[in-house]
Amino acid sequence: MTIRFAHCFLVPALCCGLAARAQDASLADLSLEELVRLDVTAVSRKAQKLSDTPAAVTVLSAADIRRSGARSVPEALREVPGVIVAQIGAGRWSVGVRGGEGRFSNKLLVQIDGRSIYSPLFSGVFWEALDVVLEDIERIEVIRGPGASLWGANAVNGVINIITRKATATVGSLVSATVDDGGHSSLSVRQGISLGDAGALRVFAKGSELGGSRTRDGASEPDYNRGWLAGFRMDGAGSGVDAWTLQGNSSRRTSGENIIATSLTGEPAPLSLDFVFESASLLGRYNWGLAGGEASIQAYVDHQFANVGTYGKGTVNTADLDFQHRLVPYGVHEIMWGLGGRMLQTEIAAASSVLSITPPRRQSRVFSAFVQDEITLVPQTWKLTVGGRFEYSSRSRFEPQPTARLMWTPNMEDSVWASWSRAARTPSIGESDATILFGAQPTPPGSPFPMVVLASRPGEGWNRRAERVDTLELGYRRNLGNGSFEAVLFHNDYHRLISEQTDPNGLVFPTSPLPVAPFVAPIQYLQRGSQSAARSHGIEVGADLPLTAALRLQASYTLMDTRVRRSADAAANATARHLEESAPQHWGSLRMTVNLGGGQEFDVAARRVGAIGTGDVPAYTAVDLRYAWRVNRYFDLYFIAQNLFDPLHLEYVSNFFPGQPVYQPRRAFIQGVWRF
Amino acid sequence: MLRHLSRFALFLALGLAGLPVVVASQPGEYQIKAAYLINFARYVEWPASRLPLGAVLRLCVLGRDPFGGALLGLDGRQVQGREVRFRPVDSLEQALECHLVFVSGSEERRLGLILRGLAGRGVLSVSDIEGFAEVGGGIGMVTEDDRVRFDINQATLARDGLRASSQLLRLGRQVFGTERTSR
Repeated sequence: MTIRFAHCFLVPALCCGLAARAQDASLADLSLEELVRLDVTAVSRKAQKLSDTPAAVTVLSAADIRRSGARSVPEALREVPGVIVAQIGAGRWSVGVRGGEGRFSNKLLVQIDGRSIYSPLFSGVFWEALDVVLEDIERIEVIRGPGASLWGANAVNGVINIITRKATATVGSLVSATVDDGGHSSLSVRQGISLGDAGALRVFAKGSELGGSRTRDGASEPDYNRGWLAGFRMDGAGSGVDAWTLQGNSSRRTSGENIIATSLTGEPAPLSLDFVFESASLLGRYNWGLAGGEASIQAYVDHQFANVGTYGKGTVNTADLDFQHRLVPYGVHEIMWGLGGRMLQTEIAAASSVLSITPPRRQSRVFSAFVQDEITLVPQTWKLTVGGRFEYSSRSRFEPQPTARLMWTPNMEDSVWASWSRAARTPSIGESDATILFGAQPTPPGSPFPMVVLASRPGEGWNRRAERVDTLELGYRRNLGNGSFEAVLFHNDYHRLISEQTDPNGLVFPTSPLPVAPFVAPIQYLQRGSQSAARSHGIEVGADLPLTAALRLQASYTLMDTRVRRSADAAANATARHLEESAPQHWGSLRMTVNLGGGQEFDVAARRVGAIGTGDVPAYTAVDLRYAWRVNRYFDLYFIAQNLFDPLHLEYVSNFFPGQPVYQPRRAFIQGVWRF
Repeated sequence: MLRHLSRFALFLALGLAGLPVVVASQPGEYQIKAAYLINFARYVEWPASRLPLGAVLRLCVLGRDPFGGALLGLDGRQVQGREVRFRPVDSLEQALECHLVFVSGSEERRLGLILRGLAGRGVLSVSDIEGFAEVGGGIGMVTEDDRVRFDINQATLARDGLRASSQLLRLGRQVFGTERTSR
């Protein structure tokens, strides 16, 4: 490589100029055998091929995920512009799109193979309960901005679709073993079996233990996360156009962390909290030709259970049915429509009187319909997409979620698009039904009581309407030969945001002693309601530059600002401030991937994340390294180092539980992957 | 360590300086893919009713043309004693008039619809959309380890009355729809 480099550099005309001219003509004369052996200068990424989509979409291919050195799904998302990922602790992540960050980022929808893993209990994703066989992921699609017209409620700020490979593409055996510098290990085993004309089946299992975080002094590990998953996927044979899939998963994970609680003496003290998550699901999908177009029907059942120490447990059972139909193009119109129905059964049993849920058991139903028309205004140049989703939920009202997107592609290289969309987020069970005792707070001097106990409950007469966002986006994409450049400007207008306000009726004197210290004190209620409003705007930039056949640079940068409406109420202002400050205002990443030849890869990634106001998290820079060696066609070896120049750093302080802030140390992994 | 670093920096600087030149010295992804299309036309046999002896072979791109002019250079070329004519097309109806259709990545969202429309019409479908051959496309081009390879779906070809030569099948990375499935 170096030699060819030097030659080209010294004698460019001889080496290259002539060759380039002769090439177009002569390439076509090459035989198949010669073509198969020819090295490509640089490969265009999948993302480029999305130049026809009038939305901010990033697709991470299996190769992108592998080369990122990610050990989990959130880590793989770190390089996507507009997505902010922060590690809270072992297996615990905050993943937000365009702000709205938090442990349960409630405006982001996450799906695995079409199955939602968004929990209706707390409006968010329990990342600590999620593990996947990374080797079997085909791609991850990240759609920033409202995806509601296609994906439904809760896709307010974005949608993340994790798509696993078809069983027909994973015939054979795979064993992947990883161990980190602390001795924590993970093992995935997959066996794919061809069923001949019927298709293929794969069964898989994975067990993993994640490395813990550190306390501020680096001495002890205050958290843990371990568990297993097992499942199967069956796909029909690929030769026909009709396709079917059947898949099932089951998992169990335990995760522990400390929360800071007020002890009897009034001193803050860490209190350990252990979570158990169990889940099982079964999904089937069938695609077939219908009226000249293409239809698909998907059904799944899903069971999720979570146990939180001795404090309580929650169960969510879901049954979902979804139908989609893409009609054969009619004139300049390409229409897609669909219907969906979902039954949800939730139950929260609070063992502690700190939290009470009324009613503890709920059954809710969601019915939805969507239609989308892609209209070609000028062939190859102007396209207009209009669509909408109409959703009825027994827990909210009728929520129309429309979108309009216009795209201009003046040439092969450039595309410009603009969009307006509206999306809604249904209040979670926790938001709509929970009463939570936060604990005692000293009152200002001169008050008749030394302490009051703060508690949050749904406001009286609150109609529990969904939060709403109106989003304007303007995007530009440019193909740079084999690379690409992308920039998106966005503006969000949020209405009816759920927030807390001080109960105007003042203090309430409980008739029996309280379950928290100081046991006898008046209660000041904070009432939840659809009271707040906010605006945010920002810019996301992404670039992918293949510099040479062997060297590629990828960069992303996001700058954004959130403003929440202020009021005269102190409690409301605290919520507002939290919303504004729970995400950094800017973050970026730079990645260099090098192919060293001989099946060796070397990757360096650096990221810079701005400070976060909530929890006083300082800005930080982290550098990760990865070296991979394809030893032979059966065996790959990886070395991964994370946080190379940083002994310890803080990425996020959990905002849902008063979690103990934990720090991320330097880590190293060695991984072997056998395919046979 | 420092010396290594400075060497690395030098390597980088040299690399960046020589960059435009190096890029031009090797064929781009779509130049290679265009060459593949000609070879597919060479090694696939159409039924005589669909492509009579000596007739013009129509090679089309459905959707946004990613070849950047590389296909125009192939216009008028002779393959197996017939002339190849290149044409970009916008719709399925137009695509049905072609013998070989390259389905552009821009059409990924309507892929199912396109494959259904082309089924049984004697058209060889080729694409670099991921998993193309697997989901029922004719030939899928795959970039792996910086080389362009291809997967063939024999069942699709057979259904459409097309015959792939044994050489094509031998060089395919994966052949779907038969007993032989590598990997």
